[in-house]
Amino acid sequence: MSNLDHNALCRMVTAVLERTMFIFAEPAQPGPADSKWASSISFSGAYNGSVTVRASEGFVRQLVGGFVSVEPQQADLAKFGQDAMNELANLVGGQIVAALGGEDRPIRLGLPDPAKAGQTKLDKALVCGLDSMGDQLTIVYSGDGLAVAA
Amino acid sequence: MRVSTRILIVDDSMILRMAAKKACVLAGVKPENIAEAGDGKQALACLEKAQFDAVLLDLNMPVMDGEQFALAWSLQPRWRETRIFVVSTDSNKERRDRLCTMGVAGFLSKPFEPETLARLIKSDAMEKVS
Repeated sequence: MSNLDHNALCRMVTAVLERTMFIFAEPAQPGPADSKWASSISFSGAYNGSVTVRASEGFVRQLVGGFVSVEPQQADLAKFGQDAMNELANLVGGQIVAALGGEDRPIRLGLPDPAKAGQTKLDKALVCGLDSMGDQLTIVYSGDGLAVAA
Repeated sequence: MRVSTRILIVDDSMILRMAAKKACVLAGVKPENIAEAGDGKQALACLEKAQFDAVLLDLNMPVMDGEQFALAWSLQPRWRETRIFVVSTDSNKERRDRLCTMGVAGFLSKPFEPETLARLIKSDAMEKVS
């Protein structure tokens, strides 16, 4: 099994953001934990874990804008904001499952869930903060495959 | 690819459907020839009502997932003209093998660049339905 560390997680997420949404983010301190824009996804099977993504409103605007090709200021957060966060959780979850060997092992990714994002525990978790033009995204992974045990 | 190519996008994410639709239009598909479904059950209802050349199919969905949909599609000879392309984060080989056995025509891993999806739509695989 590949071990996940902070750098690997950051690289994984920045690649997802660049490839799909044309967002160029850099590692930064994790953003505030009280943002309402969050989503969580779990996986189970040969390995188990969950990942939560939490973003500032500005970052969600960038996400929606990137997905639907509009300027962030014109992004309709009421219609697409949570959906964009859910899809980001799904994409990052898929990348983590692949990094854990999901191609050859039975690991089933669940469905993204905004409710579970509020229950994130930071102990024994890998936390990665990213910044794009002053807007923050925080990714929290807990589960199998952590390179450094907390 | 024919200008009249009809495509069904099946994904529980509204924003992903919208992004996929933009890629289809980028590839030259007329917007009025693109339909959307939020899960496998809705997708089956779409196939009952209209004929599609291709389905872009997500796997992880509520109600009826993509694999269940593909199985239902594979059991209906009248739908065999419609080609299925899986667009998913799921890269498990065993699952892909099962889908291939059902007759799925191709796979595109998420995350994808819009241009990659547009290329798939314009590809030889798609042209076989013309």
